Amino acid sequence: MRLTDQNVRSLLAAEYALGTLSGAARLRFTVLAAQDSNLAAEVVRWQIRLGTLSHHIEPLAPGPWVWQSLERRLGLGRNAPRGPVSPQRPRTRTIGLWRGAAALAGACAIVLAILLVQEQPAPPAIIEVVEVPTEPAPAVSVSQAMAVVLSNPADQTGWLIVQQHAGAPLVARAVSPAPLAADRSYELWLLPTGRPPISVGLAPVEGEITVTPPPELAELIEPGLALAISLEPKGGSPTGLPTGPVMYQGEVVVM
Amino acid sequence: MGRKTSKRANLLADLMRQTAAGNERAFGRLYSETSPQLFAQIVRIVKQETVAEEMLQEVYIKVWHKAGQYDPAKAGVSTWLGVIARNRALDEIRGHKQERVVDFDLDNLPGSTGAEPASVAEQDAIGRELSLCLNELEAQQRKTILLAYYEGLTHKELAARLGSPLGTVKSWVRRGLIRLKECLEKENHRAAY
Repeated sequence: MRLTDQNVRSLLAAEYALGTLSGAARLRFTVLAAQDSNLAAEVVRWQIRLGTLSHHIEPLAPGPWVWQSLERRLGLGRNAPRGPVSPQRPRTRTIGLWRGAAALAGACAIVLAILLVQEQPAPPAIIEVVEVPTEPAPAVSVSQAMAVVLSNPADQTGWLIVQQHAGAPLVARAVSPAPLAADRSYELWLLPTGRPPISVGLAPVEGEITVTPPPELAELIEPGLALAISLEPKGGSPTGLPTGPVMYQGEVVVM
Repeated sequence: MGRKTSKRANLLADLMRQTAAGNERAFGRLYSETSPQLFAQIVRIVKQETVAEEMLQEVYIKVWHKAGQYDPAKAGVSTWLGVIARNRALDEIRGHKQERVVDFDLDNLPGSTGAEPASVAEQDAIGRELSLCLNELEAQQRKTILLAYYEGLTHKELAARLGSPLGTVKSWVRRGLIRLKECLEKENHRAAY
């Protein structure tokens, strides 16, 4: 089939661009346009013409997690130097934890906690940085907020930890940790690869605490770092290493 | 609106250039500036925000990888992005991803190679002309076309929505598009002299 009449060609291109063609008609036109660059060009011309209508739509801001997920998927921010501590580690866990099949029990609580802990969502923060044109990337981008979701094997979330940017204090918020006997404490550990666990302190059973790690710990906190919560005697491990079972685990992800 | 619009259009064009050069911060800013528009556009068509969020990401992944293909001579940045977003949304609801043959490829425009970049004013003019010409359509034609554009409806869906026979709706769309084209060409002609 060939379309020779210019007006018919243009009309079909317009209908295709508008999107009203469906089913067999749409398929037929697609095949034709794939073989006929002038016809394809007519579609583009209509798409641009009609595209100006999009400027009249009332804008609707997507949630901040869309940008965060995008950053992760595109591996943005990886070029920013993170200090000399360790080579790049894979980002194994996604921050899209609260969506789709990977949704955790208590996911809403996590989202809420993130919103409460976060001072501001990532994209607006970027605007401020971008105002400084063509400077080399800062050591840590403002958008590099990090989070750890500490979950038990049943995928129940005990704590959420958020760090606004590298070097910032860690805010650990109890989401729904299992109840604790009076003579026990939960203790939070960093688990750097190839090194013994390092205690960060006791984890709260409710509410939140803010921990400012010393510089030698702060530089370990980067995407991929594993963290764990162990069950310890009241007041924490007497040995400086975990003595009880690991109850919750998680990994640093970029938000 | 002219000056403000131009300033914004120039900013977006600049961000797009920097994005093409791999500037992550420019890309972040481009996202901040344009995502509410694209998101609104996609949501109107696919109706579900979670689906729209995934699609929005796909659109920007494409933008990140293909920003270098953007040519300011052919369309304004927000129009270009809007077309990508709308095409993605339409593909989704039509359920025929393999049909994405006639994707947005501005290089297909005949006679566009070597063209001087269209000024921002000219790009604004496309929108003005379209508004002008839409107003010349009969009310029913205009309404049907706008409904199809914003909601991504097919002829059949339009007929159901408007409670009118399929043939009548098709005719509104077609006559409306034909008149629109005639009007746009006339406006173009007038602008050229």
